[in-house]
Amino acid sequence: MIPHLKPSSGAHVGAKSSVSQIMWQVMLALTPATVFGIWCFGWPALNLFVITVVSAMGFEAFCIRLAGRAATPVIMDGSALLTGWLLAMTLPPWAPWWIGVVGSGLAIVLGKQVYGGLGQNLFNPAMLARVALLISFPIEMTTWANVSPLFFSDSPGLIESWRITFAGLENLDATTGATTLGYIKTEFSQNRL
Amino acid sequence: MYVLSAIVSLTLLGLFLGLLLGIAARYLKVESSPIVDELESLLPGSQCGQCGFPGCRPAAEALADGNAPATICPPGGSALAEQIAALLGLDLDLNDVKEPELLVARVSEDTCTGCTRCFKVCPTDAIVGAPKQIHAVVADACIGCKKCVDVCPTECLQMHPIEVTLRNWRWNKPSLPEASSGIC
Amino acid sequence: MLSFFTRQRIRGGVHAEERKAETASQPIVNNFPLPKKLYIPLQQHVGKPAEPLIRVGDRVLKGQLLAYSQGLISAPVHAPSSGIILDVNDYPAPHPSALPIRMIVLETDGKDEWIETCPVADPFLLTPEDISLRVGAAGIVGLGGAAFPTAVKLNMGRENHIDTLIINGAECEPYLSCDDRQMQERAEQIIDGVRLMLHGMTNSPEGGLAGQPGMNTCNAVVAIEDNKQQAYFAMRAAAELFPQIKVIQIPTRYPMGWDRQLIRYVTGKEVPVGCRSSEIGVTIHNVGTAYATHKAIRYGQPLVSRVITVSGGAVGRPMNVEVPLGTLISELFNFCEVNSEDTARIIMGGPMMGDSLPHSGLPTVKATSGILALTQSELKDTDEKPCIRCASCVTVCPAGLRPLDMANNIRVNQLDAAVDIGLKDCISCGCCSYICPSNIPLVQYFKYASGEVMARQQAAHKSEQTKRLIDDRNARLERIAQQQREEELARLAAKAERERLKAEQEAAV
Repeated sequence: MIPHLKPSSGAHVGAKSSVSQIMWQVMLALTPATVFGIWCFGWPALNLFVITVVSAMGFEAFCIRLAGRAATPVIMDGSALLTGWLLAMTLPPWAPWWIGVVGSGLAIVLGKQVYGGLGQNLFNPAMLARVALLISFPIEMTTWANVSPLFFSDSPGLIESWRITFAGLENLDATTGATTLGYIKTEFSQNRL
Repeated sequence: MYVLSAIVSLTLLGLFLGLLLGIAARYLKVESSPIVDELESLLPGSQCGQCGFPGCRPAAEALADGNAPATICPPGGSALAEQIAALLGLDLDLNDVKEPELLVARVSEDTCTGCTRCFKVCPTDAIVGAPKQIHAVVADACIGCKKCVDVCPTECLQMHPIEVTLRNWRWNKPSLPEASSGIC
Repeated sequence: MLSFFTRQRIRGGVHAEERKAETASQPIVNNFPLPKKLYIPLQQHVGKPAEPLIRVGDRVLKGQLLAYSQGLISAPVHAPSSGIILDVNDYPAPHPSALPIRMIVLETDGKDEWIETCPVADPFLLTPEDISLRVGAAGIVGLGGAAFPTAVKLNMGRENHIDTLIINGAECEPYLSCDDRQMQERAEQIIDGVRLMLHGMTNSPEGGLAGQPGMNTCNAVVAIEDNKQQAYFAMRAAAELFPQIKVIQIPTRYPMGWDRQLIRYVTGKEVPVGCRSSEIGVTIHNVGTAYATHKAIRYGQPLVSRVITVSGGAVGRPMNVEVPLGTLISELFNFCEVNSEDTARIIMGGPMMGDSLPHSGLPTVKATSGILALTQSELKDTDEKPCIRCASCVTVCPAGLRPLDMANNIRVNQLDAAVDIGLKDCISCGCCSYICPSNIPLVQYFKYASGEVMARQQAAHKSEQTKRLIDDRNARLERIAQQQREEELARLAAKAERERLKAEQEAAV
């Protein structure tokens, strides 16, 4: 005889799926667009991407530690990485480093952890952070870079890119401007077209 | 001049409307709150006193005055609590409501003397019997008010929890994972 | 495969790992040693329990009626073997709670002696009503797991306009292969059973019901999932002579064997919420039921045994085995060499919809299609995580519900809100629990909530009843008081009268 087992209802077997697997699937889906985006906007885009993702994971680890739990298993589920990734993809590619860090902080702390962490958030944390950034830093958030693909002669090199990301766009040769749609909208609104 | 006329007209308007309201309050007054009657009709009406009030009417009055929680009536359980909360427009957090353990009276055949006192006090006629005959409780009709237990001279009436059978067995609510309850 | 695209789409569902191969590849084992004791529950079906008509100490023969059906929806119970009745009492039921239920305990004598049966040479001469009666008397219920009395379904078939009889050979639950094996080995008998069922649903001219509702087109469709090729070929070969019986293949996808899903796929008709399938002209029976019908009508043998799949990681010799009803699971496990130390969970039925059993000292019943002994590694993780609203459960729900919203409502005890978004249409098929990446026990939430909703309805009903009882009592007390008052008045009046007479007499004197 087998000892008493707790009554449990179906399904007794399960698909081999987990939360982190779903997160990785989303990331896989994001990869082509990300690679193309980084190629289009060069090294500064890569810098911002890495900064945003790493800081998102850092904020997540900080919050979890603050709650007195082990951070590693929570970080490993990939949700913070995905949030940072999504946020990075909505930022202007040549935005300064602190936009990424502040954005990640807003996303993880205000968008997710204050509600109780994974699954408890009311809104998508990355999108909440983007809205907050757009309201708080309109100039940085609407300064778009022109396409300057990696390894092209007039694109910024790796060293140059660090200056763009960490020191801002002031002493820079590259030109920036509104996107076509933004330009048309502005011109229309002033009856110049 | 403009300012003056505005002030005067608005003041007059205010006075007039206030007067109307005052008259209405005096002449259209509702004597007893109809909500009490409605509440009383919701309550079981067995005057069992398990709520701590002398009967269902006083309990309904306390509910209408806001002096009693919607979960006041143990025999009614959470189903009644929901109805009361809906009637009074209260927010009801059923998580705090402990479903009362339902009890029914049972007669112990050994000590019953057939004195008929119990079935005279039973509000729902749930006890059947005749003088000098052993009484029995109809479990389906018993509301667990314990009135019979109080009057039984031989303590042969006792409250027992309702027996779990295949008919009333239910699945448990899954417990929440520990991770979410561990924080805070 | 092309048919998959041209037919109506299947809603929801999952493709679970099948794990049928081990048991589906070997023939049904017929030499199960007769157990010493059989525990036969009086309720093995939907409806009222059967009423015993034997006494403790009686000797009974195999197939003898032990308990007769009571009420319209019920089924009788027969002796699965010959022997002595030891007891009629409460024993643990094959149910997750293992609460006691009334059972007949039969001590077998090893002779397995049949009672005299009355075989029918040409059952197609019988009237349809007679077929129903015989099926009902044989104690046949839906053997797919629903355990609804088959005779009632046949009667319903005669009372409604039915154009299609679907024979469910989907067997979509993982692990189970008892229907598969039966279709491979007993195809001709099953097809014969299908013909008898068709006959049983046709309105006979002698019954004076010609032209009345019932089966007039005489079409039967045997639907078999396309992972059971051999069963499909065997059934098609057996049905070749009978143009009214069509054998088709359906895609392998759980829960294809759910009646509504199957009806939608086969006929393209949707059974409306709250309606029976017979209302849209379809009746559905399991292949095992068709076989039992064949046995009952042709040979007069009642339902006393069935084929059960014993499988799972902890089973040493997984197999399909024909056992007498009432055999204890522990005896089955001994025969199949189940390693009790590896057994993490015993399941009655399939792993998707079946319920866990607390121990193996419980009997098998008519609805037992399989007994699984699963190891820990086969079970779904119980490590529950928060819902991330991935909506996988919405995608797979065959009933088109939103399991995550329902579970959230139930978690905060808003049962009415859960009912509003379709709790009552949940069939607890287990697809949502199966797919959930956060391992949330969704089905258990729904089962809990359904039970709770029912309990509340009963409570509301009881409080109404209570109110009526109290009103009646108050009225009675009032009446008695009124009577007493009247008597009192009458007494006073009589006394006054007496005194007046006395005074008059005195005055006269």
